[in-house]
Amino acid sequence: MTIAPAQLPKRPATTDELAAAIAAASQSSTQIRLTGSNSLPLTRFDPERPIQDISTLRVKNVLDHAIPDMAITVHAGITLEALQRHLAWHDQWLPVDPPIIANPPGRTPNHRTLGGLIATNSLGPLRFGSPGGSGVGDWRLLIMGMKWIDASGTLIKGGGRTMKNVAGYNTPRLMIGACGSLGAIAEITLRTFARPQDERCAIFFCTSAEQAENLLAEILTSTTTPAYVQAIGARTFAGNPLQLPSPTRGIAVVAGFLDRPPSCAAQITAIRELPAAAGIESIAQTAAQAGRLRLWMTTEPSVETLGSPEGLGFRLHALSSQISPLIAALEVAAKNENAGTWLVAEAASGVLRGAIASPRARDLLQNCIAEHAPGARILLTQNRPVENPAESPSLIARLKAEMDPQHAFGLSPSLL
Amino acid sequence: MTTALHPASGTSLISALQAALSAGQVISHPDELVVYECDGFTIPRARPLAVVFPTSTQQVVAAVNVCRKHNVSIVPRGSGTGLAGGIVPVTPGVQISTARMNKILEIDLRNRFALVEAGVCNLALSTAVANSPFHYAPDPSSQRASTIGGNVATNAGGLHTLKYGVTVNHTLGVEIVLSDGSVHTVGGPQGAGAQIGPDLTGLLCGTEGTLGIITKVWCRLTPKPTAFRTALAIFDDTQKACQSVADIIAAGIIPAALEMMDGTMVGIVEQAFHLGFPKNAQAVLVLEVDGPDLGLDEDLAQIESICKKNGADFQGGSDPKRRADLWSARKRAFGAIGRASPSYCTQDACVPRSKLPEVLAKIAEICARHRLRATNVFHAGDGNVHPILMYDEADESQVRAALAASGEILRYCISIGGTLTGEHGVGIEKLPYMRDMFDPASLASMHKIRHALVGDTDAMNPFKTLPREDINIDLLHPQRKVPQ
Repeated sequence: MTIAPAQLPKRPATTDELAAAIAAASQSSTQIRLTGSNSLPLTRFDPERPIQDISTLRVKNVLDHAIPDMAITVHAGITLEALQRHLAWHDQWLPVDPPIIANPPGRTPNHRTLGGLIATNSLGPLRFGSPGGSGVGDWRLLIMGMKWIDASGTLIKGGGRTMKNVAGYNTPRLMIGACGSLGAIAEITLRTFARPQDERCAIFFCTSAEQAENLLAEILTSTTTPAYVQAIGARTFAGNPLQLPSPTRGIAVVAGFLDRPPSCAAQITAIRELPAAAGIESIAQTAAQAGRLRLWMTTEPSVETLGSPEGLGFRLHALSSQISPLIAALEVAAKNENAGTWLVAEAASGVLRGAIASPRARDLLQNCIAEHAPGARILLTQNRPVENPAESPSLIARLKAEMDPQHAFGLSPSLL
Repeated sequence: MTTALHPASGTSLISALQAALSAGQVISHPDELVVYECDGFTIPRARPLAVVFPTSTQQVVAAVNVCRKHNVSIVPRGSGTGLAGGIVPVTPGVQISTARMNKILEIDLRNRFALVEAGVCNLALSTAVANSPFHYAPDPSSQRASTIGGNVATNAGGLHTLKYGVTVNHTLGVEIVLSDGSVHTVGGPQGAGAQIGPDLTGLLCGTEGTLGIITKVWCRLTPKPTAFRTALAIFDDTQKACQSVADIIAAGIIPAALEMMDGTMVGIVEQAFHLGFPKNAQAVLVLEVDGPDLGLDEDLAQIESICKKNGADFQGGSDPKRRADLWSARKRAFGAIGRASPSYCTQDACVPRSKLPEVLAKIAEICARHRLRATNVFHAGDGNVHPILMYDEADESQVRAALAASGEILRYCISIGGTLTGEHGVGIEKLPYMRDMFDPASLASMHKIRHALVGDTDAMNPFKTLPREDINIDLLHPQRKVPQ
């Protein structure tokens, strides 16, 4: 199929139009920049070659909702808000709470497209294991199948519409986190879940990293099934949306539960009675407050979040046990520089989102990682990927060379 | 063109393998190789040139390099419990078994992971952490024998995947040796849940040894549930049992396990294990809810209500002995089939759960038409059916009937929105049906992935998983060994 550049459907409304737009751009040697809500553009392009923006925002329909089978198929351009609203009519939901991108301001994660969320592997506190407290909650669990478009504009099917599927290679998993560098996500079939009846959380005000780590270790080996477990620097917690008082030092640990009201209440009681919780001031929050706090905790900060012209926003991935010492060390290092900080971690998953308002922020971060979290990987700085591949770059380069030899889709952050 | 499975040999190859490893790590005598001709899918059989048992990644690399130099293909092997013929060498090949790479290298309970060599037995990892609050959640029926590397290669499922997911959901990273001898690490103790970049670990899970040999695995450790309610729902009609499954799922309940046996299987299991199943039962559901104790009774009551509405006799409770008996019987059900038939093959389609009633009816109709006895024991909560087709392997017409009926069942399941394999893999068994599942472009994209990592050669487990235009596998090769 050949389409003159002037006729390129830059805002396609169907999967076929999306495929046609990609095919046409590819044939003209134009680089293809897929844009959803454009919240987190991570793919890098060759500045010497023309770039064609192709938006998925109009490819946004619910294609099939097998309500009793708890499975839904949607276009990639559907926003999370639209998807959740549709599911809510049927008392179902998708248990994801992706980060709020602080820059540009005013965006909420609900405006982000599902395709964009998957392509950037965007998840929040519920990544730890919201469905039934199973301890698993990432995109691998949620995605049953996908149709994606390769660099020639051909529609590719991967996975299916069943709970289990090991027929052939699972190409959809290759699209998770690939930032659109290997193909364009067009349609996704997702597993859905019954909406939890209640959400509650307990907030513990730990006065030291050691106290926080002891508590985290006990929560994570307890008989409870938290949907999220967070750790927040004391100075960051001072800005909490619930206007709860914050200690001047230490770490706030937040454990949240999504379940029936009695189960939530019982589990909150159980973790407040853990031996490591003895002597730690704590407070419980019910549904509305817990939900607001969880949303705030997804903030992907930049230095602008701190109102500073200088510094560094970052996201890193460490071991869960490294999180409390790292937060404490960063707090001290920044305080010594009179620098503001934003430090909120998905403590159970080891993901720390932070910002340090100091011109020496990068050095402070590297030093603290070296001392307290060896092996931790910085994933983003200022909402841009860093040259620190999570996976074997040589394998990704080989896949890229085979699947998109002309680099029509730009480069994956892992290949920068 | 049809290429039959082969017999072959090569003394210089054997010598080179023995030099690269040691004589005790190489099996090459024909008598010893007989047991390596097939896996749990026993219809296709072919003898490998040799089987080697490396004890380290370095030895795997050495064996791979010898195979490459001698231009023979590599067939990765765990403990040989696969059910799709994935370890049958289609071209002259050497099986590289990871069975002796069985060390647990690291257990980090605080960070919820274990690093194991690929040959560690599935159950051994849970046993190793038995005194902690954790376990390794994937629990295929083969877990007493199957290796974790093999589980990753086939993305194995199990009884409790409905709530806890399959192997890929518990695989944080792998070390893999490619056919060029290069060693790569993807993922790691933190997993891929937050990474930016393609999910290579996720891709490698389920590729059935066609891209490389997995040598190490970072496994997620999951908290053991501390409270259970286990129930048995007995039905006088299979369709009513299926309807109950659909109703339970539609109610938003996520049982830890939701398994079904049809009347034939109930009889076989009762004869073997004496659990007190009524002889006139046409179907039973064995199900379990787990988690914090509070709330489980409410879940169980809701399930009981659903089952009774569909006409079930319902027995629920929290007796640990009864629970152990029920799950033991379920996991050993396949072994008990030997009482009913000298040979059988198990199919593995997965369908949307609301389609279960019509699928079971269709299976019965197809098997009756082919004059085959069949029974069903399967993961109903996942929609993962396992029709077991019984035949006498000494009678080739019965074998052909079993294969033909299998094909019809799989094609029907695909036609109603299902998949041809939920957890066993494609191997060589289901290659003919991949084109029913995927269009040429989608298959071509998979071949591109294989080409990217393996190149133009047939070095790594060739002719498995992905159908090729240039070959069809004759599963009934005349040289197939028929047990006496």
